[in-house]
Amino acid sequence: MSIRSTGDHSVRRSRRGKRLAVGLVVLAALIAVGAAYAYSAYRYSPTSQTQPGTSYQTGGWANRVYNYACREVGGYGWARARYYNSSGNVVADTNSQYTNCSDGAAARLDGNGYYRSWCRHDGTVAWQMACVTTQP
Amino acid sequence: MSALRRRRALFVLVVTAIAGTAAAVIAGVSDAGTKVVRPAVPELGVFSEPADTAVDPRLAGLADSPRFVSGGKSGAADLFRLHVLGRDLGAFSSTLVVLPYHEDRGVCYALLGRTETDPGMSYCYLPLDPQLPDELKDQHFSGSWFYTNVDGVPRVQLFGVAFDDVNRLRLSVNGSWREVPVSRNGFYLDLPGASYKDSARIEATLADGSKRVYDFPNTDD
Repeated sequence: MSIRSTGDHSVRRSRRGKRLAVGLVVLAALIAVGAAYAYSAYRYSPTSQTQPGTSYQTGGWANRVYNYACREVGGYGWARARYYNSSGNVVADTNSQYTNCSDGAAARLDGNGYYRSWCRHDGTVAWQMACVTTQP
Repeated sequence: MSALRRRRALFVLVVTAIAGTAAAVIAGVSDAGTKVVRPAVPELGVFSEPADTAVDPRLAGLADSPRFVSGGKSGAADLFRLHVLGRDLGAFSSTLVVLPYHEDRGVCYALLGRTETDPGMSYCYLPLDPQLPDELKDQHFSGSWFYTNVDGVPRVQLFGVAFDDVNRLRLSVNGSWREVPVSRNGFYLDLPGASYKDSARIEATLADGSKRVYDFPNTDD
């Protein structure tokens, strides 16, 4: 009887342990996701059509989580995203990517760092471009 | 058969059908803790395998970022069907992942740094979209030329995805060819010293012997 009882307890403890572990993993994931969203995204390109070769950049440097560029209206178009460090050097570059914001096709940089975000319209005709980055 | 027996038989049939359906649904959802694997982009065989990971926190913003500007088409990446194609890659011990996108019509692939401060890049596209331009149409692969300059060390990390029928992939940088290893639809090559200004061409040889070529538009600063 006592052996059986001990077994039941150990099973319960094991189940509790598993639940606790799963809970902790979920909590850790939520905290991590929350930390990512603690940065607010903002747009630094205009909401009007722009010409090929036009580039945009943020007003200054800040801790970024991501920076992406894509054609916003009218289909696909080539776009590029970059980070510059405070010395003005390119520290990350997506190269030209075929993008369409509506289809979720974006040239996107990740990685936290104290950067200036930059993007460029690499298409051949005028269209509206969206460049979005984060800052605390 | 009496009316009562017919009713009983019908009742048993209905209960059996409901129970069978419920069991199938439960079995599908509980398999490896993920949803049933649907064949997203059949040309990428890795999607037929069970997903590797549930949610990678480093991908947290990926699903929503393009929707931030588009106003919300149903285009989110399915983070629960993520597949790891390579680990501990290159200078930043990066992880190469791929996941379905845009209701299984699209593919997202990403290079995630080991830590949050390591550089990473992701790209999403619709590989079978008939509207693709000539240079991307029927290409059977997609590659990104990801330049970084960290601690004064410039480098390019070439990474991407290739269809099942890509037998060989090679890269030319400034006229010099080298092989690009492909594994489970993913490829990665670390190129220390390379730049976003380099002239680069990637060439795929398909199972039928035909070739597909893509020139990275690395033209200016």
